Order: sequence, then structure tokens, then C-alpha cells
Amino acid sequence: MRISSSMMNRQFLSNLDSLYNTMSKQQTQVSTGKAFQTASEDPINAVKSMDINAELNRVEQYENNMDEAETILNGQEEAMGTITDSLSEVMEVIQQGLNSTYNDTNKESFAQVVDAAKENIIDFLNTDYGGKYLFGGWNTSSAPLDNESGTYTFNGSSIEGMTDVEAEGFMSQEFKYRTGNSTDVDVAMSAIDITGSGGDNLISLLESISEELNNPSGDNDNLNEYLEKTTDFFDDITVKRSAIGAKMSGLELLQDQNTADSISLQNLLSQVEDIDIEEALIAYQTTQISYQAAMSVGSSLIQQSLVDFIG
Amino acid sequence: MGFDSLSIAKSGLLASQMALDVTSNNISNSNTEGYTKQRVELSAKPGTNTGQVSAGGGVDIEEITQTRSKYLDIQFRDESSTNSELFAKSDVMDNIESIFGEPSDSGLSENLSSFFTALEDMAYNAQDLSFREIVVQTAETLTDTFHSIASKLLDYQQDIDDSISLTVDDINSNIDEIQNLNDAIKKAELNGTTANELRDSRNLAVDQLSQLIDIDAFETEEGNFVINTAGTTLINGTFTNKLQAVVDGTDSVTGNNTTTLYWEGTSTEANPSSGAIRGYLDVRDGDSSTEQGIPYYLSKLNDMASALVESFNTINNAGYTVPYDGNVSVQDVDFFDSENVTAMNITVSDDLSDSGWNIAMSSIYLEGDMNWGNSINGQAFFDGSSSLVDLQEYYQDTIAEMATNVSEASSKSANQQEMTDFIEMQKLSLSEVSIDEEMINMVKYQQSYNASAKLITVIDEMMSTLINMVG
Repeated sequence: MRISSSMMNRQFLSNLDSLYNTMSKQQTQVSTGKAFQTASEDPINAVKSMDINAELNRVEQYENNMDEAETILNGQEEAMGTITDSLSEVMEVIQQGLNSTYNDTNKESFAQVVDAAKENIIDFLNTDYGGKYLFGGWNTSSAPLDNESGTYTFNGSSIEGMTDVEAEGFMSQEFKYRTGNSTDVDVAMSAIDITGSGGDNLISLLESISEELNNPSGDNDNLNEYLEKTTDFFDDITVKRSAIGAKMSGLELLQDQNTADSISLQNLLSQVEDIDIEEALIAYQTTQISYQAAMSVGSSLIQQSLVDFIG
Repeated sequence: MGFDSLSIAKSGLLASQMALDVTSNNISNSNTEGYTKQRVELSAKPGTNTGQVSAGGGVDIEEITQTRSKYLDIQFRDESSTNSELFAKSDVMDNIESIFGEPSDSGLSENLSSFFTALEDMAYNAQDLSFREIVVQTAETLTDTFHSIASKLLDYQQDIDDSISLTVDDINSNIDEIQNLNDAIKKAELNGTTANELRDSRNLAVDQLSQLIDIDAFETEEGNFVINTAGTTLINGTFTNKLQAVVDGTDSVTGNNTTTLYWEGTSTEANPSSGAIRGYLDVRDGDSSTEQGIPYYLSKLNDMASALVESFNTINNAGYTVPYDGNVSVQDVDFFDSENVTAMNITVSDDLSDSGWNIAMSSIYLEGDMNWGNSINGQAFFDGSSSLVDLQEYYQDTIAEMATNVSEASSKSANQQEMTDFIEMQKLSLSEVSIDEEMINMVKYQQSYNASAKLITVIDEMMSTLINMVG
């Protein structure tokens, strides 16, 4: 093939150009650490990376959800622990009240212990964590238990006057945190889950106990009955507390799994997006060497023609 | 001995001079675009003494020819038309890709994810207005992103439409130039010579025209230069048929005014089959998966926008809003404006911009100033069944399709470029000036000039000898 003067220049320029392009691309890869900058450079991996990123966002969301759910469950568990402690105090004083060695003054102080326990229990059922009430069912924005002129209310409804259907409605309220694409954990708990409703509720019971202890002509039969009921509440709350404990350990497993998912997704993302830095650097250096060689050969070649040698 | 040698030597001098002129012209034009290397064609002149042994009559300058292959010209122009078409497409696709800007931290995909997160966070804090307002803001950012991508696509389509008009102007001015050259060449060649430089200019103009529109150029036996495009004559000698760009169409997807190509002075539409103008037309109008242009991608965005609006409104309509500022809890509140939804005009509804309490998370009616309904209805915004998941997948598919198309367009264009470069190289290999070659010619003709001059001196001496002898 006959090669004209400007063909040589043009070819030289176009070779330099393509080397320069390659260098620029490699340089961007090294400095960003990413194998591609636009989707078209690697359509399959670009879309994979979008997909993984979306999944990572979800996993991160689940992690936050579970942290929050854990905090709530923890708060509930602790509050219930305190409530059972209070109840065992109450059971103790009832037993002491049954004992004939104590006089009325003693019994009045027992009654104060019961009153304090009641207040304590109400306080704990009105616990909030970061502004969220833990025992309000769906309602997390205001204290669930209130005393409206002597009547105790839950979310505005009288506890004593509540029908079973109403109570069932409150207790079946669910507040679910998503813990995975198809799993969730329900953290809703209503104070009436603990106190019960209607005539046989815990608050009324504690009030009756206090009344009975304050009553000089108190009746041991009543106290015995109350003790039995209190024990029932204690057992019931203990069972519910251990159910929450079970929920929490389930949640922990899910959290571990979620963390594992997150790590494997990040690894996958890195495989899809990131360059092998050593490989990229070596490739860059190889291109650089070719570039330098091309320049040195080209510059000596294009300077000369036969003109330089004709006398 | 006659003195023919004097005239023979003279013809040698003239030929060498002419050859040096041509060499000099070649060297001077070694960097002129479109210049074709010229050669002096010499032939031996027969002697005048008929019937006798004769030494021949010296050298004749036949003509000055160009080293050019018509075959390569045709091939080059064909490839060049396709090349410009593919280049235009690839260039536009690159720009469309950068309009979408994926993968990025601020693209639509990321915005959808943020929207997701905001919705879910709100669901767990539905009684807190600030979480609701964050959702409204995130939704506004999302709609802004829709607007920004859509308006860039619209503007870009308008730019391409302008390019079409400009390309038509270029085509027409090329046609004018070629027509003028046809005229000039005809006049210059009346005396039988070849107007090499004018022909070079014309070839260059035709090469340029071939980049804009597909052409078929040839010279008839009568010496008329003809250029056809897809069966229609553009130029025949001094007759021309130009294109006209008329803004009389409307794109059904984008609503932009579009330019239609007509043959000048007629209502017949011109339909170029290749060249840059074909590339521009295709990407301006492409609205199917087989011909992906701006309307195609915009309609994908429109589909996403209307799917988003429809599903979010359905969910929000089903739930109850939270009472605020004297408003009671109601159903049937729209999340987004539901009138004629496109990517360009998708907006958060006035109710939601008014207050985040209008996000209908609750599945129960909320009495009085109660703000603590449940989040059961709103769960559908983000849970496994959410349309957002589908939208994200749909968007990823769109990006995948676009990216594949971009990379296909760019590799097609690169391949075609290589092919075109190869043929151009062959063409240039034949026609371009090589300084080394011209140097060799220079030395060659200088020597033959010197030798002819020496001969004249010798003949001069011989004549003196003869005259002295006689004298």
C-alpha cells in the first residue's frame, strides 16, 4: 500500500487518540474505583448494581425497623418486669395482711404499698420511648392510661365499663414492623392486655385490695380471693413477658440474618461495580508505555522526509 | 544529420518543466483537503521524416491526470452516509443516557428508593407530622426528577429538530455548490482539457453531501454529473432539486412541533434512507422498541408516572386522613394530581402539599382531633405488594434497555467508522501526495531537464563547428 505523507500523520494521530482515550478511561476507573461510569459501558452489571443498591436500601430499612422494634419490645419487657415486681410486692403484703400478727396500722401501711404499686404499674404502662408510648396499641402519641374523675380510661374508654368485644378490638390492634421482604414483627401491646378490662381489671383489683387492707373489719376470705386473683395476673403477665422475650430472640435471629444479607449484598455490589485496583493499575501502566513509545517513534518519524537528505 | 535534435531537446525541456510544475503543485497541495495527486502523462512523439529511418520527434505532453478511483469514491460515499447516520444516532443516544444519568446518587432510581424509605419510616411514625411532611417533600423531589428528565428530553428533541433544519440547509448549500461546480467544470472543459482542481472541489463537496444524505453520484456519457438520492434526482448537470424543512408536525408523545422534509415547492415528503439526516429523524421520532428514540423513552417515563399516580391515588383514596385544622377525617383524597398525568406534569396533590395529615395511612375513621389511627392502609405504599417495587423494576428494565441500545449504537458506529476509515485510507493511499515520492520525481525531472539542456549546448557546439568549417 502506498502511504502518503499526511496518511502517516493521520494514522499517528488516530493511534495516539485511541491510546489517549484508553488512558483516560483507565485513569477514571482507577480514580473512582468503579469499573463503569455510565450504564452503557456495561449494561448488565449497571442494572445489577441498581438492583443490588435497591435491595441494600431495603435491607438497611429492615435493619432500622428491627432496631426500632427491638427498642420497643425491650421497653415493654422491662416495664412488664417492673410490673411483676410490683405485683409480687402486693402479693407479699396481702400474705402479711392475712397474718394476724399485724395490726391495723401495719395494714394501713400495707395498703400504701399496694397504692404505690398501683401508681407504679400505671406509670409503667404509660412509659414512652422517644415520644412513643409502648402500651397504647395503635396509639403511640398519647399516654394510654388516664384517670378521668376517678374512672380509669384506656385511650379514652373506661376500663371498667369496657365490653369484651371492645377490649378484644383494642387487644387485636397490630403495629407491624417489616423485618424482611415477607416477614414482620408485631410490637403493638395494649395496657388492657396487662390490666384486663371490665369488672375484673387489675387496677380495680388493686384498689379493692387497698380498700380491704384499710378496712379494720377486713375479711380474710376477701384477701385470700384477691391474692389468688393477683397471682393469676402475675402469672399471666409473666407468660406475656416471656412471649415478648421469645419475640426478641426471634428478632435477634432475623437481625443476624439481615446483617449477613447486607454483607453478602455489599460483596456482590463490589464484585459488580468495583475494579481490581492492581489489575487496573497494571493495565494503565501498559497503556502509558505504549503511549510513550508511540510518541517517541512518531515524533522521530514525522519530522523526516527525503527533503532532509537531498543536498 | 538534421537538426531535429534541437526541437527534440526543446520538447524534453518543456516536458521536464511541466513535470516539475506539476510536482511543485503537488507538493504545495500536499495538505490541501480533497486534493488529488496529479501526474504528467508523457508520450513519445514520432519522427517527421517519413519513409526514412527516423529518431523520433521528442516527447509530447499528453495530459495532466489525477490518480483517483471512481469505484473507491462510490464505496466511500456509501459507507460515509451510513457512518454519519450511525454516528448521529450514537451521539444522540449518549446524550439521552446522560439525561437519565444512571447509575447515580441523584437519579430517578435513587429518588424512588428515598421515597420508599420515607414512606416506610412514616408508617412507623404516622402520628408524627414531621415524618409525613418528609414524605411530601420526598414525593416532590421525585416529581421534580420526573420533570427534569422529561423536560431535558423535550428540549433535546427540539434541538435535534433544529439540527434537522440545519442539515437541510447544509444539504441545499452543498447542492448549490455542486451545481456551480458542474457549470464551471463544463465551461472549463469545453476545449477538451480536464479541470482537475475544479473536479477535486466537486468531489470534496459530494463527499460532504454523502455524509448528510445517502447519494448515488455518477457522470453520464454526455458529461452530465448526476446525483440521486433514493431514486430521486438531486442534481443533474445544472438542474437541481432541493429539500425544504417545514415545521408542520406535532410529536404525539412529546407534543413538540416537528419539522417535515418536503421536496422544494411540492407537497411530496422526502424520505432519506441514510446519512446524518436519517439518524436525526430516527432518534427524533423513534417510539418503538425496534426504533428507540426520544418519544420511546419519554413514553416509558410517562407510563411510570401514570402508574405511580394511579396506584398511589387508589391506596390513598381507600384510607382515612388525619383530622387537622378543623378538617375531619375523610376518604378519597388524592396523593398526586390525577388529571392527564405525564412525566412532565406529575405533581403532588394540593391536599398533600397543604398538609402531610392528608396521607391516608389509617384504615379506620379518626374522630375528633385523634391523630393515632393505624398505618394499615398505608402499608400498601411500600410493602411487598407495592407498585413502587414494580416501578423500580420497570425503571431498571428501561435503563437496561437504554444502556444496551447505547452500547449497541456506539459499537455499530465504531465498526462503521473503522470500515469508513479503511476505505478512506485506500482512497487516500491512491490520491494523496507523498512528499518522498515528489522529491524523487523532482530529482528525476531535474536531471532530465539538465540532460536536455546539456544536449542543446552540445548541438550549439556542433553548429558552431559546422559554421566555422564553412566560414
